[in-house]
Amino acid sequence: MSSELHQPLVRAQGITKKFGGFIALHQVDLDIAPGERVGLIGPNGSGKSTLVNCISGMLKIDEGNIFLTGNNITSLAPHARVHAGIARSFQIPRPFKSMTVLENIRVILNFSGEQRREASDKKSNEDKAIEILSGVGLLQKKDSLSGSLTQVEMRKLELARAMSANPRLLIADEALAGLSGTEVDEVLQLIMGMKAQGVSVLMIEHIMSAVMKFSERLVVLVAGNKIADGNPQEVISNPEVVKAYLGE
Amino acid sequence: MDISFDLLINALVSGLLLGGFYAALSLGVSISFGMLDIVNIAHPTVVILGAYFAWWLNENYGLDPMVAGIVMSPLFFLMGILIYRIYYDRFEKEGGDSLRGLAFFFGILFIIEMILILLFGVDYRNVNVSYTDATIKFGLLNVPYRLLIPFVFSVSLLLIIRWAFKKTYFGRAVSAVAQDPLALQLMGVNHIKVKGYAFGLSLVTAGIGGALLIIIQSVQPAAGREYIGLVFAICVLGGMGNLMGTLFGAMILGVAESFTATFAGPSWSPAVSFGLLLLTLAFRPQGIFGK
Amino acid sequence: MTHNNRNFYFSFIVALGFLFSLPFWVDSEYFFFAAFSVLQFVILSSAWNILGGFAGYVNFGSAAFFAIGSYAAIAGYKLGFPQGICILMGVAAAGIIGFAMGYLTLRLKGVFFSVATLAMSVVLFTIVTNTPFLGGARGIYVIVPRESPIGVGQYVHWLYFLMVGMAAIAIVISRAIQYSWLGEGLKAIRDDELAAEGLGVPTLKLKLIATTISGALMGLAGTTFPYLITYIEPTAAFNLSFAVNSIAMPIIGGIGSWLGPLIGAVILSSIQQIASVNLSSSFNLLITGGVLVLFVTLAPNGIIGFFKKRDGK
Repeated sequence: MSSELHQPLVRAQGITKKFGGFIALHQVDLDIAPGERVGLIGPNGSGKSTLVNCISGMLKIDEGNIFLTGNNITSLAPHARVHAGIARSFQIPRPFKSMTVLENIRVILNFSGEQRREASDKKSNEDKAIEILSGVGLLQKKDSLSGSLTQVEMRKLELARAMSANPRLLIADEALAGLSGTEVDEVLQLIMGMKAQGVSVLMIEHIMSAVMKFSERLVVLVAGNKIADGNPQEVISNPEVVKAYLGE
Repeated sequence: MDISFDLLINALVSGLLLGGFYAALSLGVSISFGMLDIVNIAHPTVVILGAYFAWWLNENYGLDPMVAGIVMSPLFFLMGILIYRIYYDRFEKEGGDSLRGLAFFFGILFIIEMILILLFGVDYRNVNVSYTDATIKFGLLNVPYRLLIPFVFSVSLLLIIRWAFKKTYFGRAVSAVAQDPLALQLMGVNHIKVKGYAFGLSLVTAGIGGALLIIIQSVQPAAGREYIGLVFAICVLGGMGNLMGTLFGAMILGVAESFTATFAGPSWSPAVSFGLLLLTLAFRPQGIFGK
Repeated sequence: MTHNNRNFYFSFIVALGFLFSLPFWVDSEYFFFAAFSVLQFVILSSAWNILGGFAGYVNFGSAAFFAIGSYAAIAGYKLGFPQGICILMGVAAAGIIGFAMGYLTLRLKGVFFSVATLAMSVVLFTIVTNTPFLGGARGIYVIVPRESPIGVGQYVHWLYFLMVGMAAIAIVISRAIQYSWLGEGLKAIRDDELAAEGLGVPTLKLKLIATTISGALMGLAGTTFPYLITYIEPTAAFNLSFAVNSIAMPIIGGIGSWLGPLIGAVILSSIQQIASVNLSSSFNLLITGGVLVLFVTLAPNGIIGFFKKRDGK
């Protein structure tokens, strides 16, 4: 039996990132298995977004390596990592404002949607875009300018764009921030549904109820260090984690 | 080639002196571009505007250019605040479309240039002061006063402003707004006002630079364009907003230009600053002194 | 936004037919000199817009690419090559320099690219001024026949035909890019380059393609210039009006589309032709600068944007 069955989809190993003298991340290890739902939490400034930027390639790491299905992608440019299979949504939505909702999806499909598409799937990019928009409930807004959407619609568009790249790992960076009760459930449903499509999800979030519902595994970052990684119920009962959130 | 030591040392010294002066020209760009991220490519044209002001004040009131430079400062300060208000309102507020901001200043460059042409014509103007042709001798060195005095003035100006950025409330506010505008807002400081004042200051230095320029050489309305590469090269070389870096970068450039003019011929000089800029951008974009 | 290829090509062919017919019934030779200038700016503006309008990277060195086209053509002329080869040399040289410059500077923020283009313009100017083979500061004279090589009309009419053809090429290429994956990718870069890169758009590659094509087309605009004015010298070839106009015309016409530079070039260039006959040429640039600032502050989407708003789109 091949050991690849137990190989993680993504392995971040010993990630260290410094900004001048400030150590944002220190020797952080993170494995993500295929189809796994991993939650990432931590106080503000603990390095969560920095880690996301390192994995997606927007920041160069000072030490460590990142592997995707065993291949070292540490030196790949961000767009190349997307082609390889890692996509992300942005904490504050960044739609292409001069384009319509449909065009926002289509441009991603033009460049990264072809990867890993099944041979039987012969739809045009235009049709694929419509399919994706239907899936997130934005079809009726397809010809609206992306800058004119409501908060929750923008967050759905962010996720839809990331999904357009046909990723193996989707990183959802605070995709629920600023949303109200039902909106949170709506978007959370979308994120949780990705497992069924075989996509792993790394979710960075502050809304604990959503995190607990979502996570199969929970990772905690504090001041650039990983202090917990495992079963969500066990992790949140961990005294160190409790101290990081409540004590000072 | 037989390089006489005499020639070499004079080229070196005039390069250093010129470099010190270049620092005064670039000081404003270090502030507006290095600290505030405003690409005012019309800055050198404002320098020329200052030079013409100084000339006019000299012609009509007999003012020494350095005095003229100080006299016109309030006007340039107000001009800076006004221009920044427009710039902020139309370009920065929405979230920088740098294309339009650049085009805006490009247009301003031409408007100023053409106004100068209409008012003063295309001929060269210069100012003769008591020390224009005098030189001072230090052994082998033959140092012209018209290089030495602007040098002293320029370096003093730079050091004073550097001190102000570190020690005065206003100066620290500007440094802060350069690094973290959001934090400043949260502390209740009106960052728009601060940036406006800083931009006004950058134009004041441009005006003073122009007044010094006309002591060194004559000017014509389109002369500003030759200095665009120079001031941005120095700003980048010096590490974007690092004032001491600006001074040293300017001196390096001054010496490079001086040597080129002496040994390869003055027709190659314009290429030096721009060439240095291209090399820096290609190989060390954070500048010699940047992080 | 759908675009209709059939409508475009129909109008395009009709317009071309009309333009090509002009030498047969318009008597004034001056008209064709003026038309040459207008067409020149149509090419320059369309070329500039590919990088500046679509991708948002402002090139201040249009004059340099234009001049490269002129000087490479002149080099070919001096070496005895036929005009067609000279033109190709101009396009190739400008395209290669565009690629090289892009490679060196496109990895930096857009602003540094713009300053670098200005730097390149001055460096090239200095090099040309100091190179005897290219005529140095004094320039080179070009000998052109009086008659047109195709047997009908004067030589200026022949140049006019060439320019109409080149303008047609520039517009077709510009439009093709706009509606292609390249154009959409460039728009994404313009809207939010970081997001585009983070979502899989190969930003550096696309920018390099745009810079190369843009540079090559600007060089194309320059290749016939020496033949028109029968000489070439640095201040004429590197004239700042090329740089200003290639930025002003697309902005005034509207940068998001291939049509904007065309409109801006025709309108502004015609105004400049009229103004330079009646006023001085310095006044010309003042007007251009003033109009540029006005449009940039008040009507950022140009003339096209103004009409779009009225349609309520």
